[in-house]
Amino acid sequence: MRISKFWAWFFFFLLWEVSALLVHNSLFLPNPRETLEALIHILQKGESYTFLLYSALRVLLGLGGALILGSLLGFISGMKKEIGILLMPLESLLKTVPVVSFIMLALLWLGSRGVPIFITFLMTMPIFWSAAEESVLKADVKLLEMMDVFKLSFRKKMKAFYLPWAKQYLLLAFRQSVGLAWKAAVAAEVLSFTPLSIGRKIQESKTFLETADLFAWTFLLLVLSYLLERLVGREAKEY
Amino acid sequence: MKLKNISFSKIIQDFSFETTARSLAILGPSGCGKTTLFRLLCGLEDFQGEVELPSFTAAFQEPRLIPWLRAKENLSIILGEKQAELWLEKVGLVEDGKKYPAELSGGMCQRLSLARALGAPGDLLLLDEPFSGIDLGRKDELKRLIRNKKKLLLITHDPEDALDLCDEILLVDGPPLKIVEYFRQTKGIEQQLEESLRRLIIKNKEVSHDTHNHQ
Repeated sequence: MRISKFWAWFFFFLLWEVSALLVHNSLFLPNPRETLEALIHILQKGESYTFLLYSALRVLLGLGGALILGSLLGFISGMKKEIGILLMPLESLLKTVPVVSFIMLALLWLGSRGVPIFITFLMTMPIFWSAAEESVLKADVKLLEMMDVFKLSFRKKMKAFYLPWAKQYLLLAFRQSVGLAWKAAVAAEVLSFTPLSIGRKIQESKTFLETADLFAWTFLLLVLSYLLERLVGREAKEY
Repeated sequence: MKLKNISFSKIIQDFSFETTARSLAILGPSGCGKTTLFRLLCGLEDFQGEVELPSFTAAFQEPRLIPWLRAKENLSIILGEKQAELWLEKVGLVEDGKKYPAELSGGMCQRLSLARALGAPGDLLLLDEPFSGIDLGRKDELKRLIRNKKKLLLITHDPEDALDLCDEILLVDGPPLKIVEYFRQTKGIEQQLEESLRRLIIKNKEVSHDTHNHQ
């Protein structure tokens, strides 16, 4: 039996509504209507947009830094095998260490404003790293040979070949990173109590037991993440 | 051009040859190791032995064009803007300069690849079966452009191309790659070359038939 996306979402909302009815306590599980009211309330307040904007900026800064440094490390690892092996422990460490450990460390090193940017950067950098490395390893050997025969300079090789070729890998990496970036950034905002942030609003909702607000902020977070992902998704193109 | 005791895996073993000819063809049946020799000369493989070559450019069996660059861009990254335009004109692709390789026919891509090799700086032109997919009229035009290049080393299985373009011809067989016969452009070379090539092909067929029967 085929189920369309619409019916999947409908089923999910129905399940939510029924569960909320059964729990019958908006402190533990607000129903969709209460969440919608909280959402409208949030959207009516001008300051909410400042929080959303600042959080989005932090995510973008972290992602941008990860894209630049991750690509650089990936290209180096792909082109120079020995350096790739030397850097392998760092890559594994970044991929496996729990995000909370990094948040705690970052709180000691940086102020609360810097933590979400740093954590987003740290969590998503390995994705760009792997993508850039893979693009180098999967590059067409015949074209590389051709460029060697014509003695193309490194700068020309990067511009004409490696960067356009890596673009599709990096765009895919970007799409994969967006969701993780938001999760990591907001977790860092909550734990570091970052001013002007969605994380702080989520933390406050918890403190004041306004669970519907928590649901509404989470919903906004999903929307922002989706929009950012779509923005990049349109650019993806295969050769 | 000088090759001394060249060895590479089992395909080329202790191969030596020296010539001062302006143009040399290495002619032989498919699979005898010609393309491997071409790769060694291009510096794409590590091998034992010595090679002395002037500065060179090359065109491969396949066009090897960068798919996301337009025809003209594929030339200009190697030749620069002005030369790219000039060579597009010389190989009859001016109107296709803005097309991507996927939008061109196989023959057009091959012409572009030849233009790239012909326009690039270098005293010697290395060509490996450069005319695949190119129609006869175009082929003559390209041969005229190739003859203008200072020096040429042509790898081919086609005696006509070898005779049209080269002063000297090495008939080879293998693997391992070995010289069967050496020819210099003289009167009546066509018949001699054809005869030798025919003998070589018959001999190879007999060998493969015997091997097949033994198996």
